[in-house]
Amino acid sequence: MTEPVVEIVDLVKHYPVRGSLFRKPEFVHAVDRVSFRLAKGETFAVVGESGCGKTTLAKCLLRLIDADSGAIRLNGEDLLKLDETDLRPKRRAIQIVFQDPYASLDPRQTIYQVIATPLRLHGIGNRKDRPQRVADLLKQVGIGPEYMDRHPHELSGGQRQRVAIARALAVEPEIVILDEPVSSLDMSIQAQVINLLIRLQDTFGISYLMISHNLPLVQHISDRIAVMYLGQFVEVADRDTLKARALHPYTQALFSAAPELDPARRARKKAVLAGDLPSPIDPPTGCRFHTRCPFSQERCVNEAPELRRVEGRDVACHFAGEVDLTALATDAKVSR
Amino acid sequence: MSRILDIRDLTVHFRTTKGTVVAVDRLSMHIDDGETVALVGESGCGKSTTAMSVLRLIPDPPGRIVGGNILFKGTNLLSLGEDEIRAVRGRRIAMIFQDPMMALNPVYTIGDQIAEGLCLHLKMPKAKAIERAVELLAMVGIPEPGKRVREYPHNLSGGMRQRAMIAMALACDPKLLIADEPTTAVDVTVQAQILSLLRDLQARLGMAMLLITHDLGVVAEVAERVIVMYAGRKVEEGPAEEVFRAPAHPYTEGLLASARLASENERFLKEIPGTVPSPFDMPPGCNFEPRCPKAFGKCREHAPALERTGSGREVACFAATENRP
Repeated sequence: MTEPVVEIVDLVKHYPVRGSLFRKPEFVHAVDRVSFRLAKGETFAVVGESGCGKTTLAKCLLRLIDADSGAIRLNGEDLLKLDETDLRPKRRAIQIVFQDPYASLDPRQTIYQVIATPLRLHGIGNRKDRPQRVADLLKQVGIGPEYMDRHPHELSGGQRQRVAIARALAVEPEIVILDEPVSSLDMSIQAQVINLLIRLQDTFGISYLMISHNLPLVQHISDRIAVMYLGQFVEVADRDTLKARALHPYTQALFSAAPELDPARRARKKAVLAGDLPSPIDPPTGCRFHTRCPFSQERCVNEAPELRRVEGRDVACHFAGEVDLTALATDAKVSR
Repeated sequence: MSRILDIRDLTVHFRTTKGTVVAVDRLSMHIDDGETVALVGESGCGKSTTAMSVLRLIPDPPGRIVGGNILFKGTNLLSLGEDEIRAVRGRRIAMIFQDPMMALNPVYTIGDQIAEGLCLHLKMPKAKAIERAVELLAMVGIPEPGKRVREYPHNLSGGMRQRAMIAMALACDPKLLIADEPTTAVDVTVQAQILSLLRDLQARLGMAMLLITHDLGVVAEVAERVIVMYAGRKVEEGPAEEVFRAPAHPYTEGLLASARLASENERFLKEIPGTVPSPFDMPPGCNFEPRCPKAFGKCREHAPALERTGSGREVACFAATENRP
């Protein structure tokens, strides 16, 4: 593998909650010892349900929040060791596109200002050639120069997301974090935006860190996929490896839960996972998935599984390869 | 099989400062007893407005039902007085919403909220209504219903709240359940649970269901019949299996093609170019014409009417129904 653009090592972020004078503070285990590398031009996806810590992971990477421990090495340099002044020029390298383009664009700025602001802050180009640069960026994302003087409310959701993408690209980042980039868009627009992201990656060689709950979509556009559950990666694999067979029961459940676009197959046996995500404040002992896992045994309750190499991917399950959720699927709920 | 809901030529307008918007344009559809029909389309296509019209919940002003009839078991809901429509809401026709946190009242217990409808509509004494609430919570798969009935919405997880809202909707044994994006706000594993619950309840209780959704996956999982809307108009209707196998309208075809990504080994997804037209600037002919790969001269001038193309199938598209030279 080529040198990674960014390397995350044992990243930990716990949020304190409900601490008081008389009460021991408790912690939300948002991100717990997560490691991965992202190579140039690669798309790495983190998939999981709400509350699994995927957005916290993105925020740590951007240093919008500070991780408790671990390392974020950008081209070999640990971002967590830099102070605010030294960090600022590095921020240019990592940009983000948020889920909701209605919330992520300042309603008082014109489209020109939205994109020119990061250029100005990072001292890219001069005042004279900035309009041309903004127009070029907008063109890259399929927005005509006539939109430069308009405000976000005059644009559709799809157009706004294109503007948000142009803003992220403006400072020529090496990595763009895509946090659910299409899930708030209309169906007919989602494919347009996904295709745009693929084209931009081909043109500029950017690396994407994609954060999503949509496993089928992620599978289409990612090179590698990590499945996250309660703050930890439970399975990390190449797209094709995962497509061929998921080994962790939670990954199997995510695949099984995704609706299929064929009513004729509706009657098929389906593995519906019972229960809800446990609270991340006091995550289950041992394997965090054991409270919802139909294969859970005593060992799973007592001993946390580490990520280990099984069938060409990393998976954190004591019985990886031996268990298959879909095999015991019934239309009734799978429960212990 | 008898017809439980029959909507004929429903037209709903919204007056805004920029002009009048035709939110629903001469929509006709029906639901038979025990049937599940999905109304699918993108934001602004008129699907939620249609659902709200059935319960007469369109805020007036700015909205107004300007034409058509909505027959529920033969009674025109649009001609009922305010008291009469209230007796229908929650009793004969119930509704569940996308966000249970918005639909449930945070200061009342789950039990009180389920009991309210029972006391109001069925004149049940409070103690008996609470007992029934426990049964309903058990029916929708909430563990420890006797304990949960005394809890508040914030004590429940998202999936549990959605189940509690379903229990509330089913309390008075409605004949028709309107489900407006019932799984859009929940996670994928919870979505699978809720869809399986709705399928199961619907079969057990024999009620009809109108499912409003933008998600073709949800349609495929639940609906027997599907109605596709685009910019206020119905563009296609048919049995779900047939529509997914052989979509007739280019819009339906485009949506399915872009959604079916896993099966494709191509790098790029199939996309529908352009955007939904502004409600203030509708094309003169077919609403989909500016984005349609099959459009020809006539599509720019006339809006195609719905035509029957088979048993239970309709499509509003010149390219689909006419043999062109």
